[in-house]
Amino acid sequence: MEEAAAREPVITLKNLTKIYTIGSEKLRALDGVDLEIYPGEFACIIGRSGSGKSTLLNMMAGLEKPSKGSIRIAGKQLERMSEAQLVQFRLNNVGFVFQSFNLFAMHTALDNVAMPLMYKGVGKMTRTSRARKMLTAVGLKTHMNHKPTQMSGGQQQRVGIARALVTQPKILFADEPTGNLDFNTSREILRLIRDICHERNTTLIMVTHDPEMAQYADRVVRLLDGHVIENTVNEHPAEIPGGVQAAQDDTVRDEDEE
Amino acid sequence: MKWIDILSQSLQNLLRRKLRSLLTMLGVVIGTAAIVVTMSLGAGAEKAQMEALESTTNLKLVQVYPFYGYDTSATGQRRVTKITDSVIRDIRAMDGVSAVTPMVNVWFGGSFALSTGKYENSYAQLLAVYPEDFAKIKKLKSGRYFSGSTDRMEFIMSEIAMLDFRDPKKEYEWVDYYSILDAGGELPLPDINWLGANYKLILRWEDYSQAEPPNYEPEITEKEFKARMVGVMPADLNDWQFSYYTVCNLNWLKKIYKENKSWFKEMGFEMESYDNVYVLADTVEDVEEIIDQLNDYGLQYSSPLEMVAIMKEQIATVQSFLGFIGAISMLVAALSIANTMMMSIYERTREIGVMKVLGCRLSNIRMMFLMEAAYIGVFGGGLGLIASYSLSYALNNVQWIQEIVASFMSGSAIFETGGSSTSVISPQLALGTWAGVVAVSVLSGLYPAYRAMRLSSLAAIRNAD
Repeated sequence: MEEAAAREPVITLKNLTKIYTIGSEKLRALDGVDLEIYPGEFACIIGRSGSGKSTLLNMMAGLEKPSKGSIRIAGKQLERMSEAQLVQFRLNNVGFVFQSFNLFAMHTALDNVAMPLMYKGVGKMTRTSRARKMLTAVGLKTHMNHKPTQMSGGQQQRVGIARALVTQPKILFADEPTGNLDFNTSREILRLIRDICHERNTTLIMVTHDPEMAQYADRVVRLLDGHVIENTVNEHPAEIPGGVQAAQDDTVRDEDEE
Repeated sequence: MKWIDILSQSLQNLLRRKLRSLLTMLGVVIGTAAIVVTMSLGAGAEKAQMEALESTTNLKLVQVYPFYGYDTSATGQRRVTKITDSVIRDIRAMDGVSAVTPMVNVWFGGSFALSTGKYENSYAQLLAVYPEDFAKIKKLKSGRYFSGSTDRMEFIMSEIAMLDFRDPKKEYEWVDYYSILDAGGELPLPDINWLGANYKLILRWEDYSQAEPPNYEPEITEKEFKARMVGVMPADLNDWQFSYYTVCNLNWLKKIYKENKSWFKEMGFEMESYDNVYVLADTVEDVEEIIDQLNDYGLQYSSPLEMVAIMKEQIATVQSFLGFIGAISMLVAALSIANTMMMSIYERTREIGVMKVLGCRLSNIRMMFLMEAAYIGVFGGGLGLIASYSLSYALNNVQWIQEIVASFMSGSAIFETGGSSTSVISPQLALGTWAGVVAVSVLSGLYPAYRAMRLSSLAAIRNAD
């Protein structure tokens, strides 16, 4: 059964091209990318700065329009959708984790996580209880009513992950999710994000410039100057080192920082 | 998103920047108060003027004349040059008419004398009206209205006219009734059993046409009628229509006119048509309609409402000027709302982008910003109304403020209110301004909200902080 489902890709990119016009110069950020990603996969898009990896992610998340080519995600053609439809599509299918967390500074962790559910029109009782469960799952049971400024970077990113997953999306996009974190915290967050997606059979697509990350992914897509130069499947991805459990929160540092 | 969530998010965003929101709101408060208070001054002046007018004039009365003067064949305007009883019947049938009576001022080449006992009134001026209509137009102080009987003369007088009964044997003594009434005093009426006494009306004519020199003795004819006084009108200095007359029943006058037609005609009194007719409207609001009907019918008219219209127009001119100044301060407030909103959007570019990435509907984003602007209008307008009512109270009750206002308004006669309220805020003015202020606020938020909706969600995920 899993095999049959796995054969149908959740994301199909065909000849995806993005051309930026800067003055009279034409810059090909993406140049005819073909790519298929399957449900439940952890795909890692690796490339140097300017390789087009962020552009690719933005287009898959419906934040940018392609100049050419097609994007099919969860059975929908993204390039044909209006902005309003894309917003709706994201709300129902996609979660997004940012490098700089992008939490709402005035709101508590709980409110931050409940926010996408509020956008969806879920009532206060339901969304609070779902956000609470989600925060518990990312190991922040004790930090529900903390504001972002009262939390460490690792904790903030956990809130970000909880917020991205609370709507139970099919796909989670993560743009350098560990980019603003120190080495150890990076590994914890990476493990959390991978395990939790695996548990929920959520497709995880992560963009990074860090070659180390590639060894932990199921699929590695390497980009250079807008071309896919490598697309390999990792049959046996490496374990993420570090002896701690994902759900165990050892990043509590707020007392020290304040 | 649920409505309650949109409202609470907008409110939270507003409260996030308390000082800025407060300052923006202050602009709205000032704008609202400027409009409401200036308009209330106009309303106060109008109210005072109306009160003054209503105390001296019956606004429901319309005076009707035959169509005099210019040729109207070019415009096709109907002209009724003689008001006969059939015209009176037509006027009576008009919409909104409560009463109508000719005002027949009986004048002679000869003289009147109305007397009882030793007292004689040789200044009597006879005014004949229809009894039922008169009863609707004029209130009595005592006695009753005309019985309707034409067997003998019945008359009604005001105390001012009653002063003219004198004892001819005594020395003439002029009574300054104006000063007495103005001071609220009682008139020194002669000692007559007014409603019980028997009166005689003598119409006397001295005909000199056949007089021969050297003595030029006229031929004197007199007609004598028995009379009863049935009612007393209050002494009202402003009531120039009735207070100075001996009011009698027109039907009685018609009867004696018919019986003595040639005699009356000889004296120069004819009653083939009427020169002056009074129409009483059901309500003040009906007056305009009656005027239109009279105009179509081909009659000329005058109404105290014309004066009211002129007065209102004058006040409206001043009011619109003052309101214009208020509107300018509101405009400034609106710009400040737009400015605040734009600033808030630029500050929150990233946040708005994140909202879009997280799947917040564009229409919800726009609505949140519109609601933020609306809140400024609702709260600012509400506080502005509180400020307006306080200011209005001060204008009406605090002596030194009233003096300042008076010194500003001196020379502007229409704002002399003679002691009654200077500033009147009607619920319509208050609620209307409030609604207007909210509308203006939402309008000022329209463009910022649109900009917020159009912001690129990409801004959010650019990693540069």
